[in-house]
Amino acid sequence: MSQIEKEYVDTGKIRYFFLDFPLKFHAQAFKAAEAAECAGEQGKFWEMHNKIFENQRALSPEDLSKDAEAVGVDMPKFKACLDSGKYAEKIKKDIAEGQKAGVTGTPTSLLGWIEPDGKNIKAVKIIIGAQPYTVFKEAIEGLLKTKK
Amino acid sequence: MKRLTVLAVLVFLILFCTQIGFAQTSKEIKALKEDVRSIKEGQTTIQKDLQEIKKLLASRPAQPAEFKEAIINIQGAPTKGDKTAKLVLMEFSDYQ
Repeated sequence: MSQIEKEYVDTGKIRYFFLDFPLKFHAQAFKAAEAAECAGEQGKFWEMHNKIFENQRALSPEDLSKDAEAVGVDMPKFKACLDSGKYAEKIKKDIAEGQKAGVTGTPTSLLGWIEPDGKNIKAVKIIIGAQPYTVFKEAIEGLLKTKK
Repeated sequence: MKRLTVLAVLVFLILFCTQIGFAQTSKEIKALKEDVRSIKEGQTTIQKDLQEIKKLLASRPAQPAEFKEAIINIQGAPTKGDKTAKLVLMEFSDYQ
């Protein structure tokens, strides 16, 4: 992601969205996704997102609390958010959105065009798995050429 | 006469020793050449294997072709980048 970010997101050529797709057999993935959303509520989504990925093997509730503390969120608020499960629906919605495009595993990337309403994206290409940068580059360049 | 004998022995010894020396060096060179040859052979094998691996990787499809266009709602999804950009990369991922 870092190179895609540098070459295409930071330069304004494309926009990036992260959607949650915790897999059923990843027992702790759902809570981790909620934890990132709860940190996001305090403006620290990407910090928490990166932190959880850094400590990917440690996803117990205590580990997630440690991550949250490390990125500097208000802990009582964070814990209340996590306990409430208020983002469960949002995460389930993300999963359902992915399934519409045939997403079954992670990571899966979709490339598409933003609709005029700004709320929906017409996905036109799928990239399954953690493919090398060149695969993304080729797909992005190809699409950038077709429309401007 | 004694002197001469000593001298002769010395010369003989010197010649003999250097010959052994020569013989040893040429033996070593031979062994080294043999080593270099086998290393080269090994390299060629590795290169061949690499080529085959590359071919296999290239022929493997990166993605299935049965993807259907879909409209994805991204409301509430964390985002990065220019809001006016038309092309979008959506990543579906989990943390585990």
